Amino acid sequence: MPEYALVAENNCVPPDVLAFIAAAINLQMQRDVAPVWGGEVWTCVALDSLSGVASTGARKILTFKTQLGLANALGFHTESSGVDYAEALPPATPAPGQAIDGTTASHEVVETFGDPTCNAYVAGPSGRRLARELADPVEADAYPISVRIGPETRQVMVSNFVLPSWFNGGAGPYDYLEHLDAPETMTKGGYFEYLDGSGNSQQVFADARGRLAWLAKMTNPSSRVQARVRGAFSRAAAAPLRT
Amino acid sequence: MKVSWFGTLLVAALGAGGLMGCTHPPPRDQNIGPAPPFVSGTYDCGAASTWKTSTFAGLVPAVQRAVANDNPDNALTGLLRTHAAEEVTCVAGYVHDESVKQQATATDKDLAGKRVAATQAWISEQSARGLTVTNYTGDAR
Repeated sequence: MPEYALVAENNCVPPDVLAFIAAAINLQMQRDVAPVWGGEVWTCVALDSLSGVASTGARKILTFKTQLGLANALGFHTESSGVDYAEALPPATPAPGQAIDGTTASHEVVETFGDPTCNAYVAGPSGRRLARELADPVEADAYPISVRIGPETRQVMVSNFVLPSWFNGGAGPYDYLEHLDAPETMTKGGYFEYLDGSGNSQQVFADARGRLAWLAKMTNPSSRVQARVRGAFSRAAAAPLRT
Repeated sequence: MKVSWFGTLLVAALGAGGLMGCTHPPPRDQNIGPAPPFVSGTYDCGAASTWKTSTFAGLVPAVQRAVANDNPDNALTGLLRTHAAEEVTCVAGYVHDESVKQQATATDKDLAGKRVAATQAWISEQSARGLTVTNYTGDAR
């Protein structure tokens, strides 16, 4: 299975920062995600461009852009014509000594891993058909990974994610950081999506903050293209709070 | 912690909404001239004096892109137009070691395996020219 390449359009993420984020996500996928999600290990690398890069179906691309293909999103992953890819806004420039914010990229890579084709649903303990999104319910939670590249060591924040027990029920833990105490729950700022009995997409927000950190799944019925979106901020678009 | 994280989200989202464009400073490894001439010897990749055109981490994406090329040796040679051979070789050593680890653990070993082969060939080529590097490892935890 694939490798995720991180690319920054127009150098909107400094190359050193890109390298640190890729190294952190690479470790997260190998050490944290794979052991609890079936053992498949994805790798992650940073590329300064795609110029001359050999084409392969094994490589997915996450592009940092200053303007994304979907308005008001911090990042999204999608599938189009059989190609999986993701986009993310550049992280804020960290102050000296502060951790690099790799959470959006981490979120999209982990969620692509959990649902490469953006159309998977799992029947949860409540009977709801839950979107198989691994980071949304705990999307405001992050943890640090320490990365050393040659002489330099930086901290990179990556996204928390839920564990199979979040979808299947049974004993916990239900997320990597062990913040949750039950399936189908969220931490502050979290969110999840499910299909109701009529097959309509519904969103559940943990709180008002979750509503503002608007997460949505976009469905284009005509093309069957679905995108899952992270962290758009839109008061106007915020849906009524559902619990 | 969570509040400041949300603040980061908010700033990023508002920044994008305001069409402020990229707010990052220019990349630190922008090349400003031709590469230094080739000088054989053994270089300490951890020493500041080794880094003339880039930082170590700043050169990683360029080397990763080069070794993802159909002709990685040619692409790595192309980097010598703007970077010193010892810089490229230090990063090639790092990419090699990281790719060895990836090859050992990844489900699909093909891409990591190609990186291992490409960087090993480059390091051997430079060694044959009299250039070796030390202290180029990395880790994550």
